[in-house]
Amino acid sequence: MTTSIARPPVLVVIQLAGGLDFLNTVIPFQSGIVRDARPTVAVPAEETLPLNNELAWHPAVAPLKQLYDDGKVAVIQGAGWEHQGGPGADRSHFRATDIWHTCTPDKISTEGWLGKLTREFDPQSQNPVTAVNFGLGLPRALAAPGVTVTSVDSLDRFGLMTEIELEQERAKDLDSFKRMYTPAVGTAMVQEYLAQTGLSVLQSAEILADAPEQYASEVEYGSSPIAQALRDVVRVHTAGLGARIFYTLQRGYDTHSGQNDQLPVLLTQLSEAIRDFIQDLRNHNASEEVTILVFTEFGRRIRDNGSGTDHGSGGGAYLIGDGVRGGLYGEYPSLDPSDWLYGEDLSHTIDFRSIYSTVLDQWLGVDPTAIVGGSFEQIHPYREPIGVG
Amino acid sequence: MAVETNGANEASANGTYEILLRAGYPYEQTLGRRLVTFNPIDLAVGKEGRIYCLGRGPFETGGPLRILNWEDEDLGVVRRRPAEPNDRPAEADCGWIWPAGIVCDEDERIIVSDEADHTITIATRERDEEIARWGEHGSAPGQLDRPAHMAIDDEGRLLVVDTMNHRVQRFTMDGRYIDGFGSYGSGFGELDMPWGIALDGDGCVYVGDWRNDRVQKFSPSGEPLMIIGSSGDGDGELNRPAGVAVDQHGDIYVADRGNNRVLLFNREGRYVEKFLGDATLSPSALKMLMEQPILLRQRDLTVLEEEKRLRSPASVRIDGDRLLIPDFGYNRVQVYRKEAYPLREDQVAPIPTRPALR
Amino acid sequence: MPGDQLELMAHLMRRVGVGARRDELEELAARPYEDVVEELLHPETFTDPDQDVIERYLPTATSIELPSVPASRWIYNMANGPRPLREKMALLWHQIFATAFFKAVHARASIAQVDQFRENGLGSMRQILLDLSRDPAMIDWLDNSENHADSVNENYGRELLELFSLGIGNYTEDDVKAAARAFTGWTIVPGAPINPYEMNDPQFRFDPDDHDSEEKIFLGETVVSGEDVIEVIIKQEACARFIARHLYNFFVADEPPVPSWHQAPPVDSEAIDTLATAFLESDGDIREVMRTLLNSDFFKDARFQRVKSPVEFVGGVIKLTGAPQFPDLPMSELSRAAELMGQRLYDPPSVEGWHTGQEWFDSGTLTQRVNFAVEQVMDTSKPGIAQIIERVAADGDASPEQLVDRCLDLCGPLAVKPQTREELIERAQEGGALVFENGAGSEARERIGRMVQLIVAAPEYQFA
Repeated sequence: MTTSIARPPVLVVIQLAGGLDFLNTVIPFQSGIVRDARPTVAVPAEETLPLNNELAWHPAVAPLKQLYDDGKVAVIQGAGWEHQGGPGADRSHFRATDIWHTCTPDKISTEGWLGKLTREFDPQSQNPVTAVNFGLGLPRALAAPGVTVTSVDSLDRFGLMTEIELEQERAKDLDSFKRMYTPAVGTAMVQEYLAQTGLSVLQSAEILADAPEQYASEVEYGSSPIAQALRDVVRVHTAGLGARIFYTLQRGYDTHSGQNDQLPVLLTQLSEAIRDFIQDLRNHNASEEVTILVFTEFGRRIRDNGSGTDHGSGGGAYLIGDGVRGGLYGEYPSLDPSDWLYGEDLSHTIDFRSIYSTVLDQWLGVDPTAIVGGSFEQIHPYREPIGVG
Repeated sequence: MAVETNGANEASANGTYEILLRAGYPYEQTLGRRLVTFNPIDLAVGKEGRIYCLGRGPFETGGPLRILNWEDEDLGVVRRRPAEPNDRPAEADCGWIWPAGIVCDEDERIIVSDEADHTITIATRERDEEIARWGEHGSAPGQLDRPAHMAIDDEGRLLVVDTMNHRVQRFTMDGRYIDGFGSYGSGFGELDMPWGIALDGDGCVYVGDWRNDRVQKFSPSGEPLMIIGSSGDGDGELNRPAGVAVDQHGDIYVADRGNNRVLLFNREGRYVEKFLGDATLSPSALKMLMEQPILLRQRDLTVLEEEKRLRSPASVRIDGDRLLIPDFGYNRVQVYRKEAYPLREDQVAPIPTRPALR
Repeated sequence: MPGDQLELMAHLMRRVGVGARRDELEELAARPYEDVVEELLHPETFTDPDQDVIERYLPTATSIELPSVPASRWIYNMANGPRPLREKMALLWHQIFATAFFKAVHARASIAQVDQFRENGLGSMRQILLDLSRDPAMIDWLDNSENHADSVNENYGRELLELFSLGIGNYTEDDVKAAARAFTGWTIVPGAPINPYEMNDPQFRFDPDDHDSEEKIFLGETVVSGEDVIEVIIKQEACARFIARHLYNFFVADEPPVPSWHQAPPVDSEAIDTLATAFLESDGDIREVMRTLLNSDFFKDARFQRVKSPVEFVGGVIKLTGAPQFPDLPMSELSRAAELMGQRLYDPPSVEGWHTGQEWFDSGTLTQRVNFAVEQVMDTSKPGIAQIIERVAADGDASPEQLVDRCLDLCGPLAVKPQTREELIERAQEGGALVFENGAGSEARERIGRMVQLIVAAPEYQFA
């Protein structure tokens, strides 16, 4: 265990919804095959940001370049899974996202890996902010029976009846709410459960209410949703509320058309947000406590479609943080056309559950087997093993 | 031949021809594909072969206002405001909410109506955002309630179909109200949630009287002149007709949306023929398919009969002798080209007194 | 009219639909209960609100990747259509025959599937299962297109027995195999794929060359075809009981989760007996079983015994507010709101459908429910809320108790436990008596609006 960690290690998961084009993020800029297959979306080699002789970042990732050069970004190449349902199902946003969320490519399941992890951290459900989701709706990754997860749209407007403008009225309404939801003796089970759920909502809101006030920062985040969400993560984390898992997502990566307009905007927002986030954590002396896991449901097709790219496979994942040993992990998917999955897709080279297992075992010190549903070979992106031995 | 027909066309614009020798109306080409010309609700042809194809997404997501050319190249999009990242397909959101109609003026300014916020936006292709927007919600003269299709008269003024007020209103381009006509009902000259509009060479106004299943022709001052079509799915019958257009010969085209077809009536309102759709692969569709081995296989296993048909067309537009149909449900534009020769009176026998089988 | 008749009518309408406006309730309550039930059981005698108008503004064609448009239209019709039971039956079959959107490469097929449930939801079980077995979305979803005479895929055969008609414990593995073999050759002809233009509807096709036409023993009887299997199924008492329990769970009171049914006894086994008997005696006529159910005492007495599903909750709130009425922009919030509460129509989480009852609640979904309801009723210019305020005001000045009782009455009527009523009264007392004279009318109306906000946040409002 590294000594600099004041609080237990925390995992921040960022989902890039829509399917980030891995080939255009970590670009094999020397490959004629890729250039030929992508006349529309290929980034000119001279504009890319080389990270070795073969690979380069998309220019919009520039804000992260420094972090990468400093060895804080681990790129996991070719993340995916063995397709079970054929391209039709495994290339569906819904299904692919579910697979990442539930770790079950072979069957449909409703229990999320982070839901299970939350239960591991807080088996008695004593702390409703053990896991906090920033965004509307609970991702299935965080769902598990009996597990309470707090889902926050915006930290500054969190809680019940937030539409009521008059603070005084709202306070009284919340008071009434609390008493209406106080379980009465002898009520039916479902009513008691509802009452407890109502009270736990109030409790989370109370716990989180102070976090924004305690927070002060020199870092000026951008106005993008992902930047604001990551700022909220720092506000909650530094408030010391015992949160161990944070989740948020950035939308818009489904670049079937107009990819050259859309992708740079998204990557810039993401890179700036992460850069600012790490800086903010450093300023709060907390950067050693946090690992970011960035994933996307799938990569995109090798050939472009004249305007953008369609759903594919073989994406990438990223681990970022001051505790991370940066660099390239896994193997870049083969670009040789004879290796293309279905004749048009990158084949995955590392099962995504290997990445989860690595983070669970080496970063969080949790046995991954039950959570990811099996034993998967791990990679080694941490300076020292943490939480073991 | 070319010289002859050109001369005849000129004559026809003045309405001086007797009858039209209809040689045919062959299908010419298909433009666009899914995700590029997404749910095209209307289109306008600009200069130098630019085609502005207006997409209508679900709910508040607007759609792409895509610029294409006759070679089916994607020339980018026009925006009402800069795009914000969201969970919609990239570029699907050009800033409109429920875009309904588009026209281009002589300077190639693009005018778009929006049924959700009851506004008319004026934009250009060069800028990434609107240059003007006007429109006030309401039912008083000059106010709008769900503006749909538009047309520009010969004085450069904008006629707007004001759907929920069941009328047509005329404005200057900067939004000053001039006049209008129409009221709710199903009688002659009355309208029920009208949608499409077109002008002929004489300035007469044709309105797609959507909920009355007909098109009505009005004089330039708004007097009702003629009813075209009636409810049904037979020849010359309409099921919730949307857009209308009139060509140089006075032929009237109706997007018979509920029947998935376009009908052609002659200038007297007599039914002539229908277009059911003959789509082939557009250059962009072909390119997309050629790059996707799975799709090629899937396609080989399917029955393709249906795919060439029109699906819920909401508009029909004329550009010279071209007929353009934004094929809403199939995310593409189908193009036909007219072959017809106007004949002078001295070339044609007199109208027979009775129909005969000889 | 007796208040109980009105409350009974409100109960009926909450279950066959998502509730009714007060003026509708008063009209209904003036008629014999059985007559109203009979009318509800024949949705085919009514026509929907102008679907063309909805289609004009919210075209289904724009919704191929996300079923939000048809989902919102469904909720809208549930609240505003003249035949709510038709929409609710479709929801029930959608819940039982759960087919998720993601795998429907032909998403239009998912939409068509629910249209079929809507069309024949009150028909015979025989026809319902036949339609289901020929439904392209189902065939794709449960891989029956991979079910060949020479290589049997059991997925559909198994789920047909386990999840759609009999329940675990009422068949053997050999029966699963026999059923699967009987459905070999029931396949689809795919339409054009989604790219480059747009998908076309797939069609059902029976391929006699790929059908195992040998005789099989299924549940002790000799069968050959899929039709034979369905014929045997609907004669099973197990089928009658399974469907009866689903109907009870959906219309009467929450049952334990479906997967536990083979172990956990029904909440009211007498009621299940009654419904199962109606099923068997009518040869599986769902309309007849529903007639028995809605006219039974166990139904009439089961007030507020069910947790509203998100769709029912959202529909109920917009019914209460009377908005949106026209296919307007806020309609788009309906499917999204239900989704955030845990129910995305056309996309059940698995083949088991949604977990219902108290499992609808977690802190996130409850927050969404409360905030959605409060936000929707907050706009007092919405017709339904304005109507409530005017009716409270029409009765003149009121004590805090009267204010609370009048509002509860008009918001349902909603029966609340004494504790809730006391809290509401305490809150009302802060403003003192409700007075309309001397220019105090607008403040009084505001207070009524605030009371309605608090009522929809009460725990009782979560139940139907």
